[in-house]
Amino acid sequence: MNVIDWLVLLGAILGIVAYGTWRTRHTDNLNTYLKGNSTTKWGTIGLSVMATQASTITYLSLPGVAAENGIAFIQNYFGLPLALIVVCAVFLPIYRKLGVYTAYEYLGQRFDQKTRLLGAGLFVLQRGLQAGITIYAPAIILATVLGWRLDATIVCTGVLAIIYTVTGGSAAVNLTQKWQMAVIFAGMVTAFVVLLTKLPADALHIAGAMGKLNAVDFTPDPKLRYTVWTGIVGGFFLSLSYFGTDQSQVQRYIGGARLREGRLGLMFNAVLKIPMQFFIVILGALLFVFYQLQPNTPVLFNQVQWQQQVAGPQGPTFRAIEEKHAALHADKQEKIRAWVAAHDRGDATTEAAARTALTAAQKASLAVRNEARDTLQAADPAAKKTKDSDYIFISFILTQLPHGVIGLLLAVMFSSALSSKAGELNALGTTSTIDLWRHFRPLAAHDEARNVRVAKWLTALWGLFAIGFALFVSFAENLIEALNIVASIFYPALLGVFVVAFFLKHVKGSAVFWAAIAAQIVVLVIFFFGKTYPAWEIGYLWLNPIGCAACVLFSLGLQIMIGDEPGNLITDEHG
Amino acid sequence: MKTPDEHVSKVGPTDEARGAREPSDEAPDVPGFRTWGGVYGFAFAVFVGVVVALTFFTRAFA
Repeated sequence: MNVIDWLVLLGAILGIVAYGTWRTRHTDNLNTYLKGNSTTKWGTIGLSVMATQASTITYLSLPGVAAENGIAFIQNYFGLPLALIVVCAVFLPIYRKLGVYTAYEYLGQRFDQKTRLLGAGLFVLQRGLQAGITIYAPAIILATVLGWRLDATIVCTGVLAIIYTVTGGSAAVNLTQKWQMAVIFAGMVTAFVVLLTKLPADALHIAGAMGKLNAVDFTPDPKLRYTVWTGIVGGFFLSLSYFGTDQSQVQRYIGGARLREGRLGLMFNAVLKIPMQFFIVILGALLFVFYQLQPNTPVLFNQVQWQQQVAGPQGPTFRAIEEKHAALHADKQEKIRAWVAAHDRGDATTEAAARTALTAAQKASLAVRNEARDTLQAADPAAKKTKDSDYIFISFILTQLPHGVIGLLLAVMFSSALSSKAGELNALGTTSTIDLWRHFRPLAAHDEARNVRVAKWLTALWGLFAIGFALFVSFAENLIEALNIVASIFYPALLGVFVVAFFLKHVKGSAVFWAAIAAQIVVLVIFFFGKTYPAWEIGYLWLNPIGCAACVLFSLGLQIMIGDEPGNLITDEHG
Repeated sequence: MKTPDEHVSKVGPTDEARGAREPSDEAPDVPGFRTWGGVYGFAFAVFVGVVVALTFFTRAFA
């Protein structure tokens, strides 16, 4: 990084933060602080929804996932448009009509206070954990490759998000997310265009021949993580939970001038989300091709930790792996050239033979990469905290892009970290104030100024908690999958509660409360049983429909058992 | 399935000052679409189109 990069990075990040803080510095109305400006239009809501969902992990980790495993991850988003249609048609009108600040307020009215507390509790538990991951995930990668201190990177990112989120609440979050998305779009399109200029015309065909362009897989095997079926069914339930019941999203669209603005903001995402994710995974597949054609592609992309070992006492072992990889890489390049020549000639027999040889060369190269990874992790356990695929895109940014664009791409990473972080903190602060603090201090509900003060303090506390969690955590899963796995464990029971609330009007609070707890236990048992006995492990997206269905069925069963007689556990205040 | 109005009549608004007094069947006010069903249908059609396009993309390159 040179001075130009620093100017672009700091100008974009601090400029947006300063602008958002200054424009919303006088936000002292509770409604504006928690729901955003009442004149917000659908475009801002749509971008805000998109920015909250797409954290740095989306831009940093997903291209690496696609480069390593292909673009099948795109199927994870297949359920999203369907879920957004349901949210628009069912969830949003009810939230708007009731004028709630949080989704869990609705549960308090539909059922009882303990169900509301359970919903709010499940939300703050899983979102609090995710807040730590979303701040840690980009920080460890950026700190490693840029040589920055990890703790300083985490603290600086977290404090910046706290400053403007606490100052302006939802109004500041919406305002800054719009500009942060502009930086993100500009940076990602620039990186894509630069990458295209470095690739041959048949790059997509090479990616396809090497198995990276299998976008859809109709195999009905529940053990597979990403198929059309896990995407549509599991992805639908995961998205319905996230957009319909997660306050970090609900808060983005319940504000706005009219119901129409929220609906169009969500439809904006329903139409554009899959194409946007496709753009990111294709970027990853093309990155893979780019590195196949480079003469000096490293055996691992986490070069900082790798080079430390090369220079250390185990240097000969690491250099031997490098030499083995270099020989196999050169052989693989020959196989690629042979396949391209056969493909261009249209000679099907030769092309099939060349593809078989290429697949074998790729397998041999992958085996050496696995050996390199295991050797590095044995020598330096700190390397286990990340996956090598998370370093692919950032390596490309730092070594292949011109100065200025490097700064822009780093601004993309920090903008996305700040935008998703701010959305999370805003939601955690709001839920803690409205559903938890107010529950224990009901007399303070009418003191608007005090409510705003408490919301600001709680938002800041959640920010500090996320920073603290990020400073002491480590993850074995790929970063983006870690987020989805945490969500798939805690969302299903919560979604089940909302499904019962919306569609099963005869079910009361106690039945759904105990059903949700039982469903949560079922999900945890299935998840940890699969981890203990891998032969029985199912794709984690399936936890979403299973947990939701369990909650609904248990609710129906318990309602029959408990009944409506006086003296039972039902404490529904409004029903 | 209950309509939003039925939910309100059952539980009552949380806070009258906060509750939005707006019709849930407000027109989308989007050129070419007279109802929200049309907007949802369009989003669904785009989704189907994208999945079909990705299927052809996979067949073409994989």
